[in-house]
Amino acid sequence: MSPAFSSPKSAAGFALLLLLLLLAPALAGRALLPPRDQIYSSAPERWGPYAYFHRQIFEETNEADIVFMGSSHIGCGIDTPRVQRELSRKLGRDATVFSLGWPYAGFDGLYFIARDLLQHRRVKMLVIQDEFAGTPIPHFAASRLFRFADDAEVLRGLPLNVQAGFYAEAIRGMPRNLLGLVRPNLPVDASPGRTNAWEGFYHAPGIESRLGTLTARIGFDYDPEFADFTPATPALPAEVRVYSAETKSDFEFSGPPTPPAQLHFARQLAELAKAHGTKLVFIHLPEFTEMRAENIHEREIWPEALGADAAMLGVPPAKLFRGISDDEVRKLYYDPGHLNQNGQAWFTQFITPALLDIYESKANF
Amino acid sequence: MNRKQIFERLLYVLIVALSLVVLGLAACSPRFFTDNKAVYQGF
Repeated sequence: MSPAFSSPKSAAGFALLLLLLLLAPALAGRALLPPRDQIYSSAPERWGPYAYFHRQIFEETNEADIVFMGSSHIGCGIDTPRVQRELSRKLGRDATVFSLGWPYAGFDGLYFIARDLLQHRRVKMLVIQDEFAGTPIPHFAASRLFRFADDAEVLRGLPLNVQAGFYAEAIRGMPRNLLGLVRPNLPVDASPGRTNAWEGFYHAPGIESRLGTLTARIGFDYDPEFADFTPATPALPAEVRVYSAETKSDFEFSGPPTPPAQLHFARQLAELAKAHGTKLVFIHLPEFTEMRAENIHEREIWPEALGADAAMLGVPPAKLFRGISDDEVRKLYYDPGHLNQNGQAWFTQFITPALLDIYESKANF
Repeated sequence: MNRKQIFERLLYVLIVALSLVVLGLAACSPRFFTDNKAVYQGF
């Protein structure tokens, strides 16, 4: 068998290369990292509407009234323009409301993007959801979102294997970061009529025109045939429940418990919101499989789990879908976990008045 | 063993150790050896 290396010199060269690659995130420091906005301008389009995030986080500067933020369930579950219209009407001025939604759940991804947002813009109310959906940590986009020189401190207290996972993601992200130093990323092609991958696949109107929400115009199980459908029964916003001593019987907390690493980032997020004076709200997005449930199934009592003020609200699914047949409920989803345009409009009709009440409330939830 | 041989042995030990570190990192991160595109697609 021929030797692995032709000479000790080539073996030493290989060892040195390996050592440099492994130590690159620690050696580079902040000086060799491009500005954080490059994370968003360089993220591939198929990872989500990061170009829209870039605009909302780094280009717009006005105070945001309500921001919906998180992975796909909330990213396609809220009719954001409707909330914006109703809040504007209530306040008597143009309210600033938008959604930042992306594929792949995880409190770590939510924390990193929320931190960038809150460091650049004042946000009065942040509406999020349970971000633990069994997906592994680190987040799908951690090689971009987590940068060792910026974020090593955030990992303190996490198990060593989780810290190692983030470090591995930082190694993966280093070539992209170093490339960002030598040439800027090209701006997104915003020419009229161009549709991005998400708008194309989901037959959705432009994400920007919908204030960041993905409004999927496809049927159940990704059926490209979509039919507009509005339930014949009236929407009943009075059925919405905001968690309190009086309403807790409408909630059911059945776990499973949030893994410690996910909880770590959820707590970091709660601290971040508190430090920026941002009201934190957990919203329950109903899944197809729970359509007849009498109670709102949430995994945790979030204010207790986070040790922080946070409002929780949702609609008992049996009330949200009362008088609607199973086949008709199917018309509100594009898969069992995600609302399409029909479901987004239906759910938002219910939830908006309660959200606006929380926005205006001075109470600590 | 002369010095050169000791150096070569140490070098190979270092390479094996670094390779183990790479494998350890890969075990801790689900995407270390995998293209993101292959792991997850969909909103």
